[in-house]
Amino acid sequence: MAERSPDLAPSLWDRVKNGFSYLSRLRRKPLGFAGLIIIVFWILISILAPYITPYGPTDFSTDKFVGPSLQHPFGTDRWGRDVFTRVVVGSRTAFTLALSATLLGLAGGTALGLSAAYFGGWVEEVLGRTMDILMSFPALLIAMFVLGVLGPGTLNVILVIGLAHTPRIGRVARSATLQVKNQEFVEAARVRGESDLYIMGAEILPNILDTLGVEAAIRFAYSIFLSASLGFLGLGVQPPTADWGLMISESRSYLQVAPWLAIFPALAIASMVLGANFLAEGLEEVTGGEQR
Amino acid sequence: MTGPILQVEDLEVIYNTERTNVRALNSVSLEVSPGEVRGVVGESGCGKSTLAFAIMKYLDQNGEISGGRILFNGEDLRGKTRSEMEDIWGKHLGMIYQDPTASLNPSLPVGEQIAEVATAHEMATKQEAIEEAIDLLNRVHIRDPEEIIDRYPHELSGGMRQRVGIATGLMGKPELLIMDEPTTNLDVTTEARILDIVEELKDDLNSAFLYITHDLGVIARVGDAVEVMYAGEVVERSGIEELFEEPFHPYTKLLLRSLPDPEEEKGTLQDIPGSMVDLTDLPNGCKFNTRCPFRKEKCFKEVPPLEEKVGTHKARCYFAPIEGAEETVGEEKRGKTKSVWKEPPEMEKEGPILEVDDLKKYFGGGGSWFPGTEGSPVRAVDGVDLTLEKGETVGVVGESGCGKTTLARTIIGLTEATEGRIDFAGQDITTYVSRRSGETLKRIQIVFQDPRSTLNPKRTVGQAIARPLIMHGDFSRQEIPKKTADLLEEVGLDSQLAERFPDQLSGGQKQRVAAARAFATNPALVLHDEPTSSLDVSVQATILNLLRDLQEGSGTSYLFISHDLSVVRHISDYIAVMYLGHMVEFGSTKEIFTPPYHPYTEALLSAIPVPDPKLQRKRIRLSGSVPSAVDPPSGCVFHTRCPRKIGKICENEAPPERRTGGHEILCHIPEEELIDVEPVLKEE
Repeated sequence: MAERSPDLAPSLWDRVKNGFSYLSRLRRKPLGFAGLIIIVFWILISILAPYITPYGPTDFSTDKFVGPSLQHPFGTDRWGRDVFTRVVVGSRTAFTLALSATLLGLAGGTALGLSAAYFGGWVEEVLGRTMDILMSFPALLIAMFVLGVLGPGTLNVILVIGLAHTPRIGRVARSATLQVKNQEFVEAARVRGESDLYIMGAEILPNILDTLGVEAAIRFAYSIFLSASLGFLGLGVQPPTADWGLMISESRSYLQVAPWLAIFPALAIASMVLGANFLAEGLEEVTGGEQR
Repeated sequence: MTGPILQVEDLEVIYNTERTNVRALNSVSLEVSPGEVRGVVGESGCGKSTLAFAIMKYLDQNGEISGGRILFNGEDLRGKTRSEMEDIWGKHLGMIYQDPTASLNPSLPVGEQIAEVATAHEMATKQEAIEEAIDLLNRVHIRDPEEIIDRYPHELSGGMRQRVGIATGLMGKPELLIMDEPTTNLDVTTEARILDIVEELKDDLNSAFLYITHDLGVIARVGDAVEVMYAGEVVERSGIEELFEEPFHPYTKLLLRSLPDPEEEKGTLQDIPGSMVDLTDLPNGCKFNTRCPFRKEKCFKEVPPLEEKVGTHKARCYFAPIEGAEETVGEEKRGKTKSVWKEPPEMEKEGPILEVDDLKKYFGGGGSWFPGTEGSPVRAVDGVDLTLEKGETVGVVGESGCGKTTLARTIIGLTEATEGRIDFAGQDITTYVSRRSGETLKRIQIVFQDPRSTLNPKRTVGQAIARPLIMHGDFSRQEIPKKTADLLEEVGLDSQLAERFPDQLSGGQKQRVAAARAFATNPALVLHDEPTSSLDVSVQATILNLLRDLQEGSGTSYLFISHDLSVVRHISDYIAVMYLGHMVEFGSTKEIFTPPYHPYTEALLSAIPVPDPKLQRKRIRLSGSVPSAVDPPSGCVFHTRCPRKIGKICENEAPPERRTGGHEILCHIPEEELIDVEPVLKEE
């Protein structure tokens, strides 16, 4: 037997293997697999962006409002910038915003939901009611309010979307924890004299990761949507950054003459949101199927 | 009517799973005649429930009848469509399920649900049907049925619900009633009453019954004939008395021997080596050949037929009936385990390991912001005294809700005592586990009930066992893998299993790992909370033997909690009987099983299903159900159900302690009268 120190949770390699086994099982779920392909497609696009774009995202030219053609597959905007390039580069903005916001929401929500469920009593009451209050306002409204105060900008958008996700992820984390916390292996840990932090982190957390993963995919889709909305409202990323929401916002006045300005970024948003949702669906089937 | 009502011929059922097809039933043939209770017994995975659902044509989506015939009243049910089956269900073919909570509609009064069977088949008007429902409820001994029919399922106790389930099954006067583990979720005293009802119905109605159970004791009570199943096949068929007198098939033989005998004291149980074969990977030849101690070369080459051996007594074995030789089985293989711990834990002081003094644990109650509206607490444990000496085992028995699990949880510190004191090795430990010293934590361990949740699914077996070693043991990092392997071997597992995750283990293996985890810190006291109640009987035997061996090797004391008196008798030196938070009787194992008895103990003993159809015993049945622990009866808590209640004094005064030597009984009945009863269990 390999000499592996037995006190640690499964090694990183075990985790990776485990992750791949989920993905390979996704192949039998058509919807989830389609979602996976869409997301992988966008990941490749954003990594390869500098190599596949013929122009720079903020390169001006005199070819204004040119329709889709071989030189400009998605046409150009009123500054003569290449829309294809801006859509491709915009995927980087989208990933940066959505991934950071999702991770932030995941960290905050898991910490709050897990501890609320684990400690119960007044801790749960206070945290639970706070989350309820936060959730009783539409996320967009809170975002607009906070950005109105803090001012727009990439970092603030991430913070705001992460904040909007926190109570929702918190609720999922709480209900997942409630299902695990009274299981006998948790009581065994308490009887052994483990600290609360250890029990939450090492005994409970690994068992709710599946559920959190599904929720993260849903929140990711929602982040894309929310960041695009904020960009559209002018509260998000500022021009001239290539951002899908911003691009649609700028296209508003020219919809009649240059519809491609809105169509391509809109398609990009739709495909990424759908892809993430499909992936969430597939992950839920795959992980839920294992638990049963 | 003559001839069988149900003839199953060469039935085959296949489940299609994602990876492969599982053959759950393989050429099963059987007959059931009117006026007969035909038992089907076997352990989990033997296909007995699949058989029931296949006959009902109610298999899961991925299940398929792939061969054979199901002749019911001469007609083959296999060709019937769903709508044709709807005419048959309830009216001709009824089924009673294991879980009455799941089989009753929570939003309809029970009377309506029973009546629905008749009205759906247009056999009666609603009025007539309700009247008949009342009749049937009377018949299954439900008091005040006129009132009960208007209640909803959640307003009834488990035993009442199961009786309603039986009444529903009987409503259409079906020619055949299939009962799938109808008493498995019930307490023994309730089970005894349900079994009485089945016996009465058999005599009165001339219906045919197919009674499916894992419990040989139950089948000995109600069955006329029995089919023993293993791995999707019938391996033995015989009349009930012949089976228990002389089982022919090696599997049946071993299964009967693995049961803890309620008439026998502490001792080693016979176990069945190996585990149930994997249905996706069946051996060639006889399917039992992987575990059979009598196997010969032929068993690996040819599949034995189910053939008549003596009269109509059939067995699927070339060499049945097998004479003698079985005493050696398992014994030499298991051997004696030696403790990894060189010496037993040294005690700080002489004297008892555990002393519990007037322990009370109340849940809830109080807490209201408005004076006068404080709720009454649930008195889960209400004044229990207990002493446990070094190396001894005290068994705690009682039905659900008696407080036995709360007692264990309070001792281990998962909940805090409301009142009273717990001393461990002379030290007061009456507090939460988080406030106890590391030394105390190390010395008291617990083995839980549910093998499915006792291990963290995301950690390997090795990690589960190593963790307490790291926390409490004095080992260097290098020593830990070795120590883990030793512990695994001590509990009879291959040390290679350390790399596995819990979902790759069987239920019995998981309980062994749980035992290894508990013994990792060399404890002086281990609490066992129903450690075998979700295991099959053959696995239960191996676990009980293991616990005995571990105790002999280490001198550890046990507090063993179980609802099963036979199991407790097997492992305990002393037994405590609990009822509604009180310990009503305490004594040595022998004293508990012989007079004098507390009336409650007497009823419990009378209710145990004993795998011996010839056993004569007193029939003592408790009426009603356990009263609420929020508002327990005054005086003696048992007076509302006591068959030997002597009068007002039982209602008004707490019972005195009748004590002879170490044997204590809480009862108003004078000692001479308590002694002057026949023993409950005695051979004819």
